[in-house]
Amino acid sequence: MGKEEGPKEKRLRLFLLENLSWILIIAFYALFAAMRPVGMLQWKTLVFIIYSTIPLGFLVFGTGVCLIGGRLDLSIAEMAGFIAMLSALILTKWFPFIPFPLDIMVPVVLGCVCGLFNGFLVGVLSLNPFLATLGTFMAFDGATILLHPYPIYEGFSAHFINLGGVDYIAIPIAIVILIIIQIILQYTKFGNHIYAVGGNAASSRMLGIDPNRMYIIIYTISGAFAGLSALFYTGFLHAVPPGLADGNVFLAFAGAIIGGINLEGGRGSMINAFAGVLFLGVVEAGLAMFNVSPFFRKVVYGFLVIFAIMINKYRATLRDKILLPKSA
Amino acid sequence: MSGPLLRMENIHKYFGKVHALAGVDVEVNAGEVVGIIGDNGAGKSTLIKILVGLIPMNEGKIYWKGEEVEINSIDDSRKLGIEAVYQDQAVVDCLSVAKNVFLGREPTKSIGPFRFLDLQKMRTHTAVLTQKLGLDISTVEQEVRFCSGGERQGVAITRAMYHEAALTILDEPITALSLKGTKQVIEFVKHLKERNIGVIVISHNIGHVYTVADRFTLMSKGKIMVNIEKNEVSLSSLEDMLVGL
Repeated sequence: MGKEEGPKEKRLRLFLLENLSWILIIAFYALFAAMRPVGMLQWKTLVFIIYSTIPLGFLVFGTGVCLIGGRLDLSIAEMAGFIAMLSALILTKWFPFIPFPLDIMVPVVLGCVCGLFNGFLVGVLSLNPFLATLGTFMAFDGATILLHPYPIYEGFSAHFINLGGVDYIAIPIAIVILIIIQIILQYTKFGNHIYAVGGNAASSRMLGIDPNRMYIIIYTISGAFAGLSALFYTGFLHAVPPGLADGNVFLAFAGAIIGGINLEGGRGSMINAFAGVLFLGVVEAGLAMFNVSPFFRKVVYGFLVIFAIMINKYRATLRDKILLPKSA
Repeated sequence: MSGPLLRMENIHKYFGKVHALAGVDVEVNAGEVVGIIGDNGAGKSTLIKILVGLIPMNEGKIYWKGEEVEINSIDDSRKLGIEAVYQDQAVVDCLSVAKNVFLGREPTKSIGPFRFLDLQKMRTHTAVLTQKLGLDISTVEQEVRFCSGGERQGVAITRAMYHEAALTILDEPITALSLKGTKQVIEFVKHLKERNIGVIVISHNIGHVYTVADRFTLMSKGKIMVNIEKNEVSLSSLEDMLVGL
């Protein structure tokens, strides 16, 4: 007969499982630091890892909100690229007189509008979210090139660039936004309803929560995060290239899933999703330290996506084992 | 209040060319348990969905405490004091028992200009009510997916209990329940009756309904075929009536 597990051990195992992404960060950081202590064990490297993951982090937050609500948003990265280009044209060529802080609202408002469009397709027209956002993915990608096929380097206000371009400004802003979204999800009625529709839309409807309305809001929030990502990418790069954030949707998914957000909806935390994106940042920094070629990095990221899905699967099984009541 | 608690009059519902409800009349008095019985496709669930505001009717009138009312949404039915415990229990597996009990009507508390979930209130009330109902749940923080069929039904019933409905509808409440779960549901119906709450129990199994109901309404193909008091009919003759429909 095996030794009976006490509630303390159970809580500890659950805690470790829920915070697996933080453990992965520490483990990989320690591994890279052991191999390249000079590069990795520096305060500025640590700050740069956090700072450089912020634009992708916003994509992870958007992806995370959609996944918790039981929907997918494949278009989020291409949407960010489109928003960045459109905002750049608005602020540098079409309406360069828009003052600060209204200029920083431009990408966020555009993000809400683009997200609302996805929400309309899924929430009002009831289109399959995978196919609907695949369609907008392609549309945003093409529209970016149509708008302006060359990078835009000049004409942004210093404030607009500094927001995402200076680490000691970008990091606190990202942390505040992270805390706000986590509080909304965990402690408000609205957040509870996102988990509910993600967990069981039919039951939620019977209890007076309109899933279609929730989907419209969820996609709008996702769009707002795409807008923030566009803003911070622009600051980080000090420019808007036409391919900004291209293909990053897969990394956004990987970050969200490594962070414990359930692919089937109804479960996950933004804090842990942020850990998921930090983990990707640590891997990126480690590979950069060893001058690994961009092509090989792509292969690594491909395996990271597979790794994320495997973690998701085994974590769910283990979680169930820990939580299953003894009588069940 | 004079007259019945609820009267549904000449209710019609079409799904395309299918006439799902063809002029149905139903009455429920306060403290009365009405069993609506019929085979699959008889129109029982459609009738209830209309009553709780999940789907609109095409024709008919609904009177609540003698006054004509319009029920266009779940909010409308809840405001009147109508609660439903659905066949598939309407629970969200990944949420805790406490969050499920309050889902859609979560209590909140203010901190400055912001309103946050009152998690403590949700936990406390759920613990008291589940205990009252005799539900053997280890903790109200337990996710509902770890609950047995009876416990899930209990969660849905706890929800109806908390919100103090004047009319409670139980849609196939005993299907897929263990003996213990069945007993719990029957006790719950008795408990509601004692508190002068009107109850509609929907089932395709007469045996389940016969134990608790005061009156039986037999439905077939969208119509009310028989409406009879319990003291006028035995279980076996009720079964014969249903077979003959």
